[in-house]
Amino acid sequence: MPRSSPDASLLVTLVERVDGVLDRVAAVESPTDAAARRVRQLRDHLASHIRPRARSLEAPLLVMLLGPTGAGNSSLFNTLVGRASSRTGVLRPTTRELVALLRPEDRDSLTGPGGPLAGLGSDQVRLLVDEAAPEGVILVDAPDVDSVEHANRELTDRLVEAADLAVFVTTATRYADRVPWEVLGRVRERGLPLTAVVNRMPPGEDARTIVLEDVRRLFEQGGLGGGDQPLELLAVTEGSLDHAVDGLAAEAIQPLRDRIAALAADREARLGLAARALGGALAGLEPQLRTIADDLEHGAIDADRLRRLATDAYERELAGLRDDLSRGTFLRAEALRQWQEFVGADELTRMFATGIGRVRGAISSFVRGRQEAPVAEVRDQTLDDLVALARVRLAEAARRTSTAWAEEPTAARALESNPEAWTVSDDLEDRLGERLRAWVDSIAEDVRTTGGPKRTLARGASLGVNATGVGVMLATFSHTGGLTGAEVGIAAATGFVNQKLLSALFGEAAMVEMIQRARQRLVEVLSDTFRDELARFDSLVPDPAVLRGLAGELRELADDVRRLPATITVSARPVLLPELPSLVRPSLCSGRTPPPGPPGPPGPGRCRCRSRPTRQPTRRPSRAMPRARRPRRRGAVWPAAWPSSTRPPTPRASWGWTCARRRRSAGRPASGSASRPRRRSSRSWAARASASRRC
Amino acid sequence: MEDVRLHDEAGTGPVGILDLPDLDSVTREHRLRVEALLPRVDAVIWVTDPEKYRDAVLHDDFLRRWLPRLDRQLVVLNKADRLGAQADNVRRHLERSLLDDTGTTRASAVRVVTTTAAGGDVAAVREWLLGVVDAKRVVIGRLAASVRAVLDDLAARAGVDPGADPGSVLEPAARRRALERAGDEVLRLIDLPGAERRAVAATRAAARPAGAGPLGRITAFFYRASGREARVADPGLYLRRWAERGSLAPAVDLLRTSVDAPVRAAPAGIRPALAASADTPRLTARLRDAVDGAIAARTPMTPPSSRVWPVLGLFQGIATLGIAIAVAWLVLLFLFRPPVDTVDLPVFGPVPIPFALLVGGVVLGFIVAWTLGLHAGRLGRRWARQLGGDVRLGVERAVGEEAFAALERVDAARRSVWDAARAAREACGPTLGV
Repeated sequence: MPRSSPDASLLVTLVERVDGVLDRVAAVESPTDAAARRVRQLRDHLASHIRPRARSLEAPLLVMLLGPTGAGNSSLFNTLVGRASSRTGVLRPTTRELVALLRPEDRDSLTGPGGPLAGLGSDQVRLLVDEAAPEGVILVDAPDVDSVEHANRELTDRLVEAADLAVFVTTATRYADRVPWEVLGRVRERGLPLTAVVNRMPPGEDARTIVLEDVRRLFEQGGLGGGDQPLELLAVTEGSLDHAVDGLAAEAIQPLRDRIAALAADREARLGLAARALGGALAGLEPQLRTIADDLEHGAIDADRLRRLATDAYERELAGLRDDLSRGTFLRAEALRQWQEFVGADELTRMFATGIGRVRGAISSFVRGRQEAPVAEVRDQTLDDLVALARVRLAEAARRTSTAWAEEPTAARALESNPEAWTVSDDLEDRLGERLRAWVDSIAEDVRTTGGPKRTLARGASLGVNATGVGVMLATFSHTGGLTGAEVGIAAATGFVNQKLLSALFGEAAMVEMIQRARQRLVEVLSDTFRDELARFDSLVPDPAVLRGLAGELRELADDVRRLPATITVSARPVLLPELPSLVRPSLCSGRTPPPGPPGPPGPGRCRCRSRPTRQPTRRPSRAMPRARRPRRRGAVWPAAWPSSTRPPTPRASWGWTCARRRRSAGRPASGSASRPRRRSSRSWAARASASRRC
Repeated sequence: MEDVRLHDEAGTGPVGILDLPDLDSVTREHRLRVEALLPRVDAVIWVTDPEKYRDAVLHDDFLRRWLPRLDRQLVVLNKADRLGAQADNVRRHLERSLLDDTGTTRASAVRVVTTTAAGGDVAAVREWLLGVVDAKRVVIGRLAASVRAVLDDLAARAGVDPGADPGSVLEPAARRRALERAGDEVLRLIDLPGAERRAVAATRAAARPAGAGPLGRITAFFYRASGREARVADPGLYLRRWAERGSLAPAVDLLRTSVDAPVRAAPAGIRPALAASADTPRLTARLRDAVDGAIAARTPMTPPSSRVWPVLGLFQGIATLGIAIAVAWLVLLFLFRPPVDTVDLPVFGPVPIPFALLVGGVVLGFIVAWTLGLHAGRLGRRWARQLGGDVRLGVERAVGEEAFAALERVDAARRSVWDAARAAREACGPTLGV
């Protein structure tokens, strides 16, 4: 179906939308370090490359030289510059900053606001401003990617996100090093045009051929080069040096010099390369968005599970607490005895006694006088016991939750930085005490409201609202609607007399209603307190709903990117979005959960892994679900494209194995068999060449 | 094993040399193989070159971890001929960086030699190999270093420093305070004054049949039959039903709270174990069982008796008899109403004997009853004090044993690790990292 070409403003709008969503994603704690790195990478990529290029292809091309330590990046840079500009040496690592060659008019576009290297300090980037620098081209020597100076890697990673052309420099002994291939993975992922320089090549023709063939094979297997975009590979023989410039011999890298010169001379060529870089970047955007969406989905599943663990523990303890309260056995006998002495006194029992009991009560109250109600003692003791009981339950819920969370890697990290989650909050006692006192006050208020004219009776009995409130409070715990004969004890006896008194004061129906209201409010107080304590755990993990929302938004954006036409016009120039090779999309073949949605038709270059029954990231694993069926966590993964003849049979690698087998059945060479990567040893090139002939 | 070659011992001594695969290429299996074999070898020669000698994989993943563990290690900077005059510079740079990596100041701990295509300092490598020959010492050294590394790691996870006393997770003063307060809460729940009151009442109830005469026996029967004696005069039953008089939550909360601060401050590795020591349902159950056991150990709670009571009972019986005779006499007089002056009433002075007998019986009975009450009460109070003291001691001991039992196990485990780590340091000697 022919699609119309939107203008660049639509592209810019899409990029702004993606950036906005990624900002919100970055604000949420990522489930793993790898997930956080992906978000950071994509944000850098958007800010330093896609957004500036979507606005204009006219900005200067950023050509970066990258490679492992000691490969000769700086020597190559010096040769391209024509003088000793970037420090070379034997002590490793040599380059610790970005060194950029540029024209004066290009300075702002590089380091100014919105520029690809905006925000870097002077200790991180050194500018060589030169009128004679290639026009429209900024050449940057990046630090190494694999030395002990980790800051070097961070700088290089940032530059990878911003570059329009990458020149990867390696050596005949280092081309199979793993760490640089991780960076090349990112180059491939974002569709960055690439040229490779193999330095320190052996002088013999046979050895050179073997090395170059192996290098080409690795790059093709890695999805870099091959097909309609063969890899530009340049070999530099060991010893091809120009000491005058502290670099490589110019003739050794003439093709590369010619290419840069051609770019400098031809605006159209520059626009073409920028368009190609932008096209690759846009084509690589969709899988990255889906991968981050999958990360968020995984994070939501984990967060759901963790929150469920916490909620179950707190609900269980709250149910246990309500059970304790309904039995009334937590009430201290001491307090109950004091109250029973008060409510059992003749002065009060005469209110519901009959016949001789009433007469006796009247005489006794006249003789003995008024007994002071032990309101404060009984109330304080009861509330103290209630607080202690609630604290014990809450502490147990916190302990259970923390113990369960400590076994989950993501949650364990959060717990380590929040050790107070293992116990109750420091202010729990004060908070709960205050709420319970408010609850007792609410009972007194209820008594005032309900008592009405009966207050005269209470006053006549010298009972008072507070004392009646305490009676209702105790009845909340001991009123069970019927005590069995086996429960004869201080609690039952007190409860019985207490209820008789309340019933005499308010009537049976009103008393029951008052007790039920008091009980309901108590349940609310306790539930609120449990909820507050549970919220401490909920705050340690991201909200699953937020994560799912963000994942949904990213998938919508990925769909919008997918719907982009094959050709977009930017700066009046067509930008083609290439169909990246199937192996380019690691999320399909590297053990990561493929994106949801109907599997696409298997097409040329599309990985058939997608047609397999997939682990759907939106499925929430139930407790009954065997662990093996749950969506797998992402981590450090070997993408299937990486050259590896004998990958260990891990579940993550199973995707890659499947891809490899299917490629083999389709008649394409697979990894393994005769072309296994050679184990590098101290043997000479010749010995190695003869060994390969024997293989 | 790809290839096996024999060598003569003259050059290298009785050693087997493994040429391991690379540890940093895209073939991940190579690295896995290296990592599997490293713990099994006795000595390691790390080979690098001028390009790769500061690679992060080599330093971060291998040298940092292994240099302190094996005393027999050598680093070879191969292809040093490429460096020309700078070779020694680079070698020293590598040595310095290795010393920084391992955190040691012993320059002799790290050795770097350079080799070239033409040989270079291969002789130094051979010499080093020969020095490695003392296999037994090397193996012991490797084992010792491994043991020490493992124990140091365990000690770090347990939050103990082999160089300092591990102490207790819970400070003794805090522990004492928590035990005292928890013990007080438990005793308040048990209600020893109530039990003592019942002990006194039980003694009086025991004295009644023996010392209160026939009426006392009848009263005692009615008290027992009505259940009143069990309610108010059975200290054993009262003590055994301590759990019905409230909750152990206040006591458990005090004990649990005392562990809060140590849990928060502990290393993440032992936090679950520390928190489990305050598992409230188990702690409650343990305390309950401990208190039940302490009370059960005191049973049976039989009230004391006295030989005085039967004597008092005899007097009470005489008084009762006297009262009965007097009452009968007077009743008969009222019933049969003999004419006046027809009955000769014996008199005791001016008082007729029936009245004197009645009054005398009542007075005697009152005095005997009062004496019985005093005596039984005194005996009962003495018994109650002894009973209360025994139960208090038993409960405090039970609480003390059970309250922090789980925590003591954690302490014991930490001390074991500390002992082992210290012994390993003393036996195995310092490592590069010290």
